[in-house]
Amino acid sequence: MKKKITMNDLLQLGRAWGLQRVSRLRKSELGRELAKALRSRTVKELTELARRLGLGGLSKARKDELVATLARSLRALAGPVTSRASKLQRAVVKKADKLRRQVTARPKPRRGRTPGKTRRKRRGTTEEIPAVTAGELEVVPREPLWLYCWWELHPAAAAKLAKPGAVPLLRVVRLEEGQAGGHTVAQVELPLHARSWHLRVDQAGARYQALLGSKDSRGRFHALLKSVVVSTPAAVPSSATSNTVLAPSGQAGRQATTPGHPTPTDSEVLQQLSAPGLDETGTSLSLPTSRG
Amino acid sequence: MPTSSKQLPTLALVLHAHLPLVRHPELESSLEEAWLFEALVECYLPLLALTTRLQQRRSTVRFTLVLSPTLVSMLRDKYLQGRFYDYLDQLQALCRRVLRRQRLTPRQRRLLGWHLRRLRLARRRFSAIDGDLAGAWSRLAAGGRVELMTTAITHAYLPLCQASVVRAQLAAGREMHRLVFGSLPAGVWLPECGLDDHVMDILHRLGVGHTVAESHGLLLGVPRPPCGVFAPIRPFAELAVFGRDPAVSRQVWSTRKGYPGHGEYLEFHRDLAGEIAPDLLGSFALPGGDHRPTGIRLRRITGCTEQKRLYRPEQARLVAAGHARHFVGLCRRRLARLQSLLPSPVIVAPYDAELFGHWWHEGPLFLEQAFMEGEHQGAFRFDTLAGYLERWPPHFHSRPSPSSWGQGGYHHTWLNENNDWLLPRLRDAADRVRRAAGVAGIHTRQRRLLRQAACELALAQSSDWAFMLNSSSSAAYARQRLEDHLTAVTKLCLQVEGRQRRRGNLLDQRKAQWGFMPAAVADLFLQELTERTYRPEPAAATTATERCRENP
Repeated sequence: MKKKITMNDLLQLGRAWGLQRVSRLRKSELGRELAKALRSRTVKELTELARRLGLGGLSKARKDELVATLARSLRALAGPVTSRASKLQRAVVKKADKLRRQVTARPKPRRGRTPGKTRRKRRGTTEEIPAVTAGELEVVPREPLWLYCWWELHPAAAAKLAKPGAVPLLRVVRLEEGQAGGHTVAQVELPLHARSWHLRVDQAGARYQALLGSKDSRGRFHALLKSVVVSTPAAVPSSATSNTVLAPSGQAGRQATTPGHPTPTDSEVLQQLSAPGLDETGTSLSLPTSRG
Repeated sequence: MPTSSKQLPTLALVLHAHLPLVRHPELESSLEEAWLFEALVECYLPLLALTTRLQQRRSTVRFTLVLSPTLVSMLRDKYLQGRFYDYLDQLQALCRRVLRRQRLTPRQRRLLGWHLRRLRLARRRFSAIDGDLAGAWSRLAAGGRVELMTTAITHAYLPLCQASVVRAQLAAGREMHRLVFGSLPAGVWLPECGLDDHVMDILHRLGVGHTVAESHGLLLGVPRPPCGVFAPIRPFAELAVFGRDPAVSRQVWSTRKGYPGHGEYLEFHRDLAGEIAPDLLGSFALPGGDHRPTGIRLRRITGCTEQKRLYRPEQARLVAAGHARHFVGLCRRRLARLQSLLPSPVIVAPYDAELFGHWWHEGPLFLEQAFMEGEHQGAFRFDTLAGYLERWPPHFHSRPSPSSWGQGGYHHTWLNENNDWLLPRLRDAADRVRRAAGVAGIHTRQRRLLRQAACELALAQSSDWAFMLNSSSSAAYARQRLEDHLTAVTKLCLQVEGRQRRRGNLLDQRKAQWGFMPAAVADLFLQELTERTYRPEPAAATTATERCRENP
């Protein structure tokens, strides 16, 4: 006879199996998370679970059978998705899947190019496109050489990071104009509880993207989350000098009051007066230590 | 060679007056409420008196004053006006008590008498304008003596905010200024001079005419501006960005090389409370034998020593006059050199207004002397930013680089290991308000709840909390205020969504204490936050606007 399994039982099991944030999950959600994690458990653990669930006749079953039966049982326990949170979750997943399909959709081959070429190019990309449902990874440029990243992971994604053998990893890549992919410029192995990180990058005035994922036992990186691309501020003055004059509409005709074009020598003097900390090469600005 | 006043080079002094919104009617006396009262006695009222004197003398001196919306709200708050009189009463009573019961030298007695006269003067000035400092500044602005600018509604540090939050903060700040002062300001001050590309775009879209950036914001602009920081740049035809001149700024800001560190000036860190018997402290005593600062100081800086000598007001006045002459001479020489390179140079010198009077007691004296000396010499003119642009509208196109005037020149002060937990929580709170504003079929009470949630969110976004958490000064208060506002956002949004039952009179309580935004401003904040998907009822908004004009 099937036993009635309590929330407490499921919580104990979830904790014992190393699932993340079990206390925040509803009973139905926890049931589903446990069902997903069955494959990674030993036969002994599965048999014990079957006994606790009151499922008879499984003492000599093979692992595949055990997993299938227990998964059915746990999903049945979770019941149909009816709660508001689950509805919302389902809607999010649906929308995210749609988005993902759009992102990963193979572009229509242009005239004159064979589909085969397109496929080869796609196969050549190294970064796996992460599932947008895994959570959110935000990044802001803090200084020319520093980025701040923070993330929120959905439970399933957190469980992936916490899998035995997986090493959670935060990676920052510098993106170059006109080049696919990017150079990894910073990488840090994260403690499981980490939710944010300050990372030093190698170039000011460059474009960066952060990736959060895990490294498997073979050292391969699997991205779970990808941030938007951000640019850090430049640390050296622009090589091009402005020679366009703008004025508010209605006052553009007042050419008599234009600021005038200083000669290149005068402009150099003005730059020196503006930034007493500019070094001899004129490439490094000494920034203020504070406003006060 | 300069002849007409139009051809004179310009020194644009910009004073940025801001305090975070602090009001605690639930407490008998609050340490943090005294920030406003100290600033009123030492800075805002002396600056107002100085500007009034300039007007009476028909001086040609003009300068720019930034009044942050939270400060304006506090200056117009009848409750805080009442508490200011109580504060003056307490201080005067303390001075009298010390004079009566403490053994003092004749010089100490004279100094306390000087403080008493100062407090009486502050009371007279405050009563003369009926407590309405914002109204008094408005009248001076109408006379053309001063250009009033505004800033983000709660002084949020904009480069770390999402685009919709930046729009909401700036649009609400300008609307608040319009409701109080009668017209939209031409210029907007960026909190902490913090800017980046998306802040620039939003300023342009909002129709802002000018703003100020830190010097390297201009120097690292793209393309490189040929005039350095001595002429504004135009990222767009309608928007001018001025750059701070580091040399002139350092003269006043620097604690070591700047004027305020002179030995004759009043020592800020030696309070009377530490020098008198504890039983004389009265309401300034705190449990555990500690005390609140009184703002009454008897010592001068003296030098790098713990043995501070007694303050000498007359000598300090002479030193301030000497420093003013030095400052004017420095600006004159600098501008004369610049004029040989440029036809219309401008030196922009922005400072926190509270520096003049609060941190540097002799600051208002210095300013007045500098104005008089500059006007007397006639080598340059003190003008407003808007006044300069009126005379010299066209400027080189360039896009400023991300920058701020904080430590290191970027965003580190507001985003580091001490305060980085704040950023995700603020973004979550903004998302929560957005979701609540998206609830279909909102009725009147839900709108009121949403407006209050907007106030709470805006208050949590203030840059002051991150600054305090970083500097460890008042960090406990900053943390407590943040938790308080973020919790209120959650509770109010849950009530809007109908997921939490109405409990007591949360809305009325919060509105009475923190409902600083008039309904029209809160509606605008919500509209911009939700990218115009939230629609306030037009009739309700108009009524609220009218009501705000009478009693914000």
